[in-house]
Amino acid sequence: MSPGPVSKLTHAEYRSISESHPSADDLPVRVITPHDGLDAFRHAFTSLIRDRHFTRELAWRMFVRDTKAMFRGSFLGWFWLLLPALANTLVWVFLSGTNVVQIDSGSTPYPLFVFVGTLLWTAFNGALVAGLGVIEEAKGTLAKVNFPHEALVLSALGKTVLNTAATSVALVPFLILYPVSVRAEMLLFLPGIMATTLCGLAFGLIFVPVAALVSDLSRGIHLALRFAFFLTPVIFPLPESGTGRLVMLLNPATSLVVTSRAWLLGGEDPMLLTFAIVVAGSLLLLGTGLIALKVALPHLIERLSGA
Amino acid sequence: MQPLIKAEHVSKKFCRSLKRSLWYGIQDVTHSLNPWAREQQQADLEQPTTAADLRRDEFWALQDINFEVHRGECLGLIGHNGAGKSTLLKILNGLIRPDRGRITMRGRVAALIELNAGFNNLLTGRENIYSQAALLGFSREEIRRKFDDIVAFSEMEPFLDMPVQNYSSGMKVKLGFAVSTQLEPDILLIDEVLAVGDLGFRYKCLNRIGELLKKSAVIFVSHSMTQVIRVSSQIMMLNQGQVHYDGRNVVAGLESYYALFGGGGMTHAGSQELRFEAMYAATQGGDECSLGGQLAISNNDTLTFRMSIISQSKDIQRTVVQVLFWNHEMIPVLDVTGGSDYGFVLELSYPRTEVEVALPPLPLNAGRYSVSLILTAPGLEKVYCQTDQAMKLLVSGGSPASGAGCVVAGNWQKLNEKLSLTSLRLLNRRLLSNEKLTAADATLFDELAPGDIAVDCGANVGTITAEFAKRGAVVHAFEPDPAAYGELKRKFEAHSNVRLHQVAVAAADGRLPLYFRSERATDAVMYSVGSTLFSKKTDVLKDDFCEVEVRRLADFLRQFQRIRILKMDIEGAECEVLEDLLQERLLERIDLVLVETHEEWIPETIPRLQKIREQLQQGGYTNVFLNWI
Repeated sequence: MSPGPVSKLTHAEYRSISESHPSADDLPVRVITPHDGLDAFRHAFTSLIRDRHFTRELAWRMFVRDTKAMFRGSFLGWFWLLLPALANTLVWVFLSGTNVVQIDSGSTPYPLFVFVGTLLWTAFNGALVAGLGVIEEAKGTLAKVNFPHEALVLSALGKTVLNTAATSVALVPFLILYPVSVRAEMLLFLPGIMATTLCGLAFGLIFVPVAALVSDLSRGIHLALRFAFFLTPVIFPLPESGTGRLVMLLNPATSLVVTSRAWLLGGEDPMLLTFAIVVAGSLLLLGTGLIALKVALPHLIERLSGA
Repeated sequence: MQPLIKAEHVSKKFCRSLKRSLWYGIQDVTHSLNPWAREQQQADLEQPTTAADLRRDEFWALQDINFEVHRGECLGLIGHNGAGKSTLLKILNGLIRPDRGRITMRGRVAALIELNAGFNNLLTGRENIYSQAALLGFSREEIRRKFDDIVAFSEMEPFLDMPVQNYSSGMKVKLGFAVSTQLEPDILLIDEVLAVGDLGFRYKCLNRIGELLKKSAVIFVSHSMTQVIRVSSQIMMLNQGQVHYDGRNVVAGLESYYALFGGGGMTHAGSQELRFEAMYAATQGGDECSLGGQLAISNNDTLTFRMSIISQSKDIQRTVVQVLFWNHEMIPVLDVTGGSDYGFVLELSYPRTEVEVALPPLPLNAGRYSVSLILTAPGLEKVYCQTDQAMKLLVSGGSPASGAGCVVAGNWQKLNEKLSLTSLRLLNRRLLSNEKLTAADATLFDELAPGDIAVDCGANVGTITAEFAKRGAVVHAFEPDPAAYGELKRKFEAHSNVRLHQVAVAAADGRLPLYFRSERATDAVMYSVGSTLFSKKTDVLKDDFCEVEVRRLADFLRQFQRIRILKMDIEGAECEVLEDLLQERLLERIDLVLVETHEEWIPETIPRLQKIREQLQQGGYTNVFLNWI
């Protein structure tokens, strides 16, 4: 390269520069150490609080960026958000209609029952997968740019909430097609499905520190989710009795799906206490997961990139 | 004052095996998530790192690194691939954590590492600027404020609404660089990317980095030693994770880096019909070496080679001998020619020919060079022998800090003490295009002192007269055109040191018609510039003239013993005036003569001016400048 203007400073220039800038003592200090133990948690927590404004802005930018890019390359665009839930419903309505499976959804029309169930399950499932994949998705950036990583989680939350909201739009024709009695409780469905999303994200997030390192864990979780679909009362109501009921009651997603669906459609018993416990637990999990992620991330980045 | 970056005993382990590395990763994550794990104590810092600290398949990627960087300083981090430079940069950037040690960073950190790491290819350039800037830590307000600057710097405005996937890789880095360097960091980490894009953009990059360098504490990683030498105030050379050199002697730091490679041994290529039997190089100071040796020499010292060439066959009668010097980056920097374009044509004696070549004072800058000796057929159609690394040359002195390949001592002279011709030309061009004089132009006439005599022939509206007058010189301004003279009178009536003469200067006294420019009707003052005594001048009307008084300039000048400056722009009459002044030997009395010639408008003057030029040259008149536009 040809000689350019880059030059070294004379002592006098150096002095004048030092004097014209804030003294090093006034600048924010960052100490980088191996960082284990209680200190690491304290540090993660304080930076979570300190960076909150920046995090919010960054998460918003990431959310906008990813949402804009999501369907740029497709003609159907946003319709793809609705398609999985619709397809799932059609399959089960078809199966139920041909008497291959016999499901009694009580007073509620079965297609509506399945659609709402699928909606809730997709919200939970989608959020869990999104939470699990926060690191994998941003791998390239993480290894090169330092930024508050919680923004990734926040933006993932935004994206799943958006997905859920967009899918919920399809509820409107269903509710017109299969009229249900209008009750005030129906309004609770919205917080219900949002709580479901949040729980999904919390469950996903808690596995990230290990899942980001070895793919076995996330593969296992993806597999488990397929079975979990049948261990959650999505396409059928919660059994009245038997081992099935016992297993399903142990499943945290059960209370979320059943309660939210009961609020919207009636006909099922809302499991209010379990619902409250699961939501509270999830919030705790989300907080813990976030801090754990912050503490673990430098180790993850190191192994991911191979430095 | 506190350093902005302070690293103490920084060490980092890496693992060679992938599976094991992932397993250790899980262990480390678990360990870090255990709130009761033991924290690093001050005493731990001082502990030396040992092999016992390593798990199976692990090694120290960084071992006990210590340094400080203050604002305005730049630490150049060098070492071969895998020496740990990038790892250190990642730790400093907070991406990964050291296994031992402590780093204290003060202020905002910016990293020029991979410029387009956060780009989304589907989004447009505009959208990517927003998301990338947010990623780098700009607040929303800052992005809004700096958006236009970023776009302007990147030169990507026409493509702003195009998806980045359609950008070329060069365009992407331009955009990335523009965003990354808009931050005003206290600490700047640079990995190789000092300049990107095409040549024009690279200069912009260097300027921008130059600004940042002065304001920040910088860590600069590069394999280009030329760049390192240019920007670094201190050097740290890493080898296998350990510090091999650390200090402020940049040249010594680079030496330690080159020493790692050794440079390889001598090689011979070519048909070997001719070969070098021996070579002997000697400096003025008496140091010497032979084939494969090493010689220390100072810049500007003389160097002599003696070579003995063995021929295999009598048929080869002549060869071209070439001596070529390569720098450490294996770029040829000096070629010794002789007679022919590329080397010395040597008539061979069988079986042995001896040849000697003495070099002029060596222009090579400080550094390490290798020498190749080459024997080719005269038409270059065959290489008989090329001996690379025939010897190594260790040059000292010169100008190490510039990193330039060659250094020569120039013969410098400050010109604005005397009137500089180039500046005068610029000045006149500006005057002609009606621009205002700048402060720099005005200094041209600064050597005029109060009381000096200055003569302005063809003063027109007095722009130059005013410059003379301002410095207190006694100015005689000649202008025959009534419109211009009126203007002069208005301007200088109150000046006691300006004498106005409404006459045309020539080689004899009398009265002559003054022809006006054809555009005179539109603005008599403005177009008074071209009024002339020559009816043949191409831009005047032959029937639009007035009679004016004409005076012989020689007679007027004779009254002064010394004239500081004579400026003449008299639309064709300059030939006869100059001839007259030469004849009367009056030019000797004038320090500086500036004459505007008019060949373009009056082609007849070309042969006359040619003759005048010859006379001036023969007479040694260095004070006369013709055609100073």
